[in-house]
Amino acid sequence: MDAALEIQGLRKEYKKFILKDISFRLDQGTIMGLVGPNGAGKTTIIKLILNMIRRSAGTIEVFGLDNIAHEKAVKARIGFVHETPAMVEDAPLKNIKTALAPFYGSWDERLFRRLSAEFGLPLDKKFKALSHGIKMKFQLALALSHDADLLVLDEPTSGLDPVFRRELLERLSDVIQDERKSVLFSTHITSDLESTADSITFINRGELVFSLPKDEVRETWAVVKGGPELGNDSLRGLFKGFRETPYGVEALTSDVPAVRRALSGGLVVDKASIEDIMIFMDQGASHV
Amino acid sequence: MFKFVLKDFFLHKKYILSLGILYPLYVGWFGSRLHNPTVYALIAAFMYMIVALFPYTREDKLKAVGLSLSLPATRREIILGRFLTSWTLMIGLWILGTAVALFIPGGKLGASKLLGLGTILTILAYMTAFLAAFMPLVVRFGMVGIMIFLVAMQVLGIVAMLLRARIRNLKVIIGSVGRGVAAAQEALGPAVAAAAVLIVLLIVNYASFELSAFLFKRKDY
Repeated sequence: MDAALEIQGLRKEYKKFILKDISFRLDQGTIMGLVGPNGAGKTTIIKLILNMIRRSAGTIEVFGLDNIAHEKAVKARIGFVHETPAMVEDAPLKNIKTALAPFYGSWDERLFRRLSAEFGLPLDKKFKALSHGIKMKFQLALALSHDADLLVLDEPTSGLDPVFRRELLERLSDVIQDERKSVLFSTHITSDLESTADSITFINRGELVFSLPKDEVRETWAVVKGGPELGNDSLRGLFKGFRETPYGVEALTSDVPAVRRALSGGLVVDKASIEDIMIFMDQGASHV
Repeated sequence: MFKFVLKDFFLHKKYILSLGILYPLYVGWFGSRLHNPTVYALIAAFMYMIVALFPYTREDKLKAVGLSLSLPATRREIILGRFLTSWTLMIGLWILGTAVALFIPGGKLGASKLLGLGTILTILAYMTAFLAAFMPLVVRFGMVGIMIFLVAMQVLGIVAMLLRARIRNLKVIIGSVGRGVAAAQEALGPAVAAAAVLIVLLIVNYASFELSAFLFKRKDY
């Protein structure tokens, strides 16, 4: 399967934050969830893909083209939806649409009108007068109307009510029915990914934790429940994070066979949800 | 490239239309009261440049630069688009303002001066100078860039006033652009002088464009 997006050794250095050598690949016709706690580096990656910030090192290829050397061609194929959109807030939606449409050779005005009606977009209203959900839908309508092959969504479901959220996620699933299209979808709401994503890329504190198909995440990562022995120094390397509960200690691992070999009996091993992974990783390995 | 002009017009339509009427009316009326075409050119160029840069100071204020950056265009093209839009606006406002100045009864500057080659070249020279100075500042510092420039001008003004005894006449400095154009016309003949002035202005515009593009490429949003 061809790659819609391929990132290698991506690095961005700020004074107080470093995105460290991120590598992952998004196949065409799939949805990838870019997950991590707030401040993990998800938005930084998305801004780097759009060349809104300069990378310190690494490469980003969109449909095989470098995102800087072929910036124009790359951006023509990307549709962008942002949690806090960079819009001229006091412009009416119809003016924003009229301003942006000429930049896309593949702009489909009929599709935009259809989506506007379907999403209930008030085209005469100013962008700033819209609810968060309608702002998201407007951005999505713009992205879909220029036939974007790669949709990049930065926290699109954050702040949406459950009905809107479900609608948006269903729309994303519809998008990839066309196998040329792909979606990169950053979120810290892990439940959004359970039903929608084909693969998960997990970022924590600027580092890549894993980038795997969703099924493989379920197979690989587990929560081990046991006693205080889980916190022994000899076992510490097997675990990515710990949590104390009233009943004992829980630990996150990506190597269940090794844990079983090291600890015989008395262990309960449950598959880890993405939320489990996020919580354990955030707490770190030195908690117990 | 015209799509950049359209983009800025549609995104800032209300402001461009309201200022685009108000400023030429004011400058036109003001121009009709003046005797000196160079002073008129200076004021008109400054006022129109402020309107021309308004979309970008607003973009900065609203943190909307990201919208341009998400479009299929290189950063260099975005800056080229800004210059194109700015010049389109400045020329459009200038035509309107000149029409107003011509139609106001009893204007001190007649058509011969308002539409004279010397005035046209002088106003283009001032527009170029202002845009060339302000655009890189707006790209680098946004709205604050204009403030920096204006504060710097205020400081320069105070210094000039303090040194007035030595400089003797501030008008000498302000009028130097107009006199330079006039001297060029006299020395080279009107056609060659106009061509020479336009070439110089193009070079200054190009240098400012390159500096602005350089600054824009280096900025994170």
